[in-house]
Amino acid sequence: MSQKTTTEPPKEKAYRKLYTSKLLRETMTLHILSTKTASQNGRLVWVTSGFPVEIPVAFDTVAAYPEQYGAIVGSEKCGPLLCGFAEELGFSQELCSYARSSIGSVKKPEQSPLTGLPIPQALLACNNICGTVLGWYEAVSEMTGAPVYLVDTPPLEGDQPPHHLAYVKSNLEGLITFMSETFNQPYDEEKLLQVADLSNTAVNLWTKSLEACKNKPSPLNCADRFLSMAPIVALRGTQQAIDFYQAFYGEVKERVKQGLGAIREERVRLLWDNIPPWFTIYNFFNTLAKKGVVFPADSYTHAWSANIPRGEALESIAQVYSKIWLNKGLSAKIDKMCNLIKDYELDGFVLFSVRSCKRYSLGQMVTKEVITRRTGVPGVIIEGDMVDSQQYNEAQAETRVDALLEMIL
Amino acid sequence: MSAPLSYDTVVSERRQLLQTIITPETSLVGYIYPHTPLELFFAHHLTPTLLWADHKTSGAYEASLQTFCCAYSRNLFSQRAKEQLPKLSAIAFPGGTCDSLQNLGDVWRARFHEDTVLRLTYPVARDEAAITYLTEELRGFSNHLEVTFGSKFSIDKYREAVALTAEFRAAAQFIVAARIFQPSIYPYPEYAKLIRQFFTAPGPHTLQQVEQVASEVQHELRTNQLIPSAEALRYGLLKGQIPELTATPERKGPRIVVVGGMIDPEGIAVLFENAKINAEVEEAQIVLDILSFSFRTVFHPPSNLQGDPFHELAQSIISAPAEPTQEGLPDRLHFLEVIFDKLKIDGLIIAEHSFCDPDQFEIPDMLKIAEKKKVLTVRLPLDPEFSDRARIEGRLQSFFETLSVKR
Ligand code: SF4
Ligand code: SF4
Repeated sequence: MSQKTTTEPPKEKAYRKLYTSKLLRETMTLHILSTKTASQNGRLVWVTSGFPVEIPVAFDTVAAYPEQYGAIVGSEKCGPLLCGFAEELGFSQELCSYARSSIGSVKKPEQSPLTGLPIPQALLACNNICGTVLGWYEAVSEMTGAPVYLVDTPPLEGDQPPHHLAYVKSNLEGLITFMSETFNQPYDEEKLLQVADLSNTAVNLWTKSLEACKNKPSPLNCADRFLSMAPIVALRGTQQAIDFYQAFYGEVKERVKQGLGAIREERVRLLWDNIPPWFTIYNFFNTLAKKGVVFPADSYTHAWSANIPRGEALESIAQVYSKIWLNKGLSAKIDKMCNLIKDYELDGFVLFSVRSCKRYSLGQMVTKEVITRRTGVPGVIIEGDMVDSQQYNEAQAETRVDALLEMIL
Repeated sequence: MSAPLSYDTVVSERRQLLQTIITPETSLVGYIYPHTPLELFFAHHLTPTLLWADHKTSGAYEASLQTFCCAYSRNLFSQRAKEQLPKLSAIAFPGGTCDSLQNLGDVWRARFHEDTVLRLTYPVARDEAAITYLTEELRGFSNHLEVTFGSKFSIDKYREAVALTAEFRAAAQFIVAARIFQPSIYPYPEYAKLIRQFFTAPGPHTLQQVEQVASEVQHELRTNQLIPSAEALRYGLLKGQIPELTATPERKGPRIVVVGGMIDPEGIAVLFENAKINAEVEEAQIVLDILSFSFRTVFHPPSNLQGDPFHELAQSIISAPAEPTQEGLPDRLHFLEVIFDKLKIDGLIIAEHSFCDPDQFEIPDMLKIAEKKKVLTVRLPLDPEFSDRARIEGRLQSFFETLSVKR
């Protein structure tokens, strides 16, 4: 065997790693530790991703997010194992894999990443993201004994009528009573407004970071956003979220200033729709990065972009959380995606048909046709799941995206 | 030995029945959600008809919906795509019930531009605030009907319709209560047919048939002095309770309960009767079903004629037995437990549409209760086309065989 005499410089990766990813890891590790302590102290709530978390935060409880835990399960590639535990209990394989993996982890925490989410004292669900959350949280309630409180935000068609606002607001008033009784603490409106201010600050920093991706090259790729959204989901309303997003936005601005893209050579700009396949998130996006494909925008991480206006606290929260575009039906989603394509100057789009998630995925066939008709850019649908890797066919996904790239390049 | 039941007959009867109520003036509105307020349509001179799944229609959805859309929604879409639905002036989708239907309505609008697609959104909660919300939704929906069809809300038509549905429900409730005591008094498939007839073509003709059966059942119960017991049970069920039975229920064979969501009772009846024949346990009886298109709509309380119609309709919808799409799993589980305790149940059939999240989340807890109460269970994942019919019938057959051994 001949010995090499010269050392070649290490080959540059196709994508650039964010240096704030270390801070992200530290922030989320501290958060995970705080959920464990909170559970021991009787102050942990589980919340859905679209829940008005400012309220439980104002009650000094700590929020854990089972959907985020599902993302960890997916990334750790143990989705099939945990979903399997839920299936052993009789939960159908056809149910959302976030739900199944969280149910599985409650059943067998010792075999779950991070030994599962700590047991909550209350389960807080808001159906502005989907109807699944109710069945899921009620099932977990049967297992843990923690009571469920549902903030019911019926889907909107068009503007929010007064009776809708009044109904959601009355649900929030019920939540206040529920929190006061469950955690034996009076409601403090001023505190809620302060938490809402913190939440707004973090959301603004996050939104500015997302909007920076209109630049060419885009400073962030899809995986960057999906991983960095963790604090906006889990720590909205806290100083930790602001600290993280200040640093994060700083790095994004720096990249823009220096003309540094998330990937080395940006050739094609695409829109991503839906949750990512967590078990292959790096592989999927980095493989495409090597082909010069970046995803400057997606329909999912833009969901946390609304500000709670100063005013009567509960009414403002009722407005913001009812009107998130996920709660407004297919045409709002299509409008949003067409706008993203236009504003971010995208060349095409990839719709991930997530078998778990009927709310976001059903309608994608129509979406594909309408978006192409309206924007003139081509798109493709790939199939799979975000957690359950058994539902994903990598080769098929690759072939379909390649076919899309052929149309664009 | 009785002849096997055929689902083909069921479907063709539905179509024929619909023809009998259609005149050139009839504006037929198809609906999907079991608690759709029929009275509101009648008040606007419209005729509501429940859109049943059709086991003979499949495919034709693939270019618009993924396979993980629930089986029922897929089937409805296929019927429309193949132009097999009755001729409708409009179709009313529910909002706020389940993710499949929420999307189905949107996709329908996008695909069938020529259809008039209505949407009435329901709350998931079941409290006073939910009633207030639904009251205004109904008021808005009524205004929308007026604009769309140019027909004003008629209080007289509304009152007539309230009387129609109340009389139908009272008669059907009595049959349900009577069957719990004496299931052989009126076979389940016949009961399921009565329900189907009324919801397909609600009117004096189908009401009369239900009332006729109720009166025959009453006559028979009188002979056995069971009327007070059946009435007490009916009132209890209307309040979501099961009182102590004041007479011993008939026990010629295994007593079975069926639970599920938007499952077609006649579909279950066909599967059940045929599997019974194959397993040679003809005496097994479905004594009660807790299905959306049967028990939950039959025990829907009547609207009060005194107050604001929209408020009264909302009140009656919210007070109806809760759907799996609504809050209240602990109450539903408790109700099932009481059924096991008080109605002398031997077996439980759990029917679920494939990819129906609301049903599928509840089933594991139902199984646990059944196990605790030593009630034998069988789980039937169904699609309306019965694509897996042989396996389903096989499962039912072994369920019956185990039940026979147990007894
Ligand atoms: S169904 Fe979709 S929106 Fe709902 S929890 Fe699952 S992944 Fe999230
Ligand atoms: S409740 Fe179930 S069966 Fe009914 S439409 Fe929804 S998902 Fe389908």
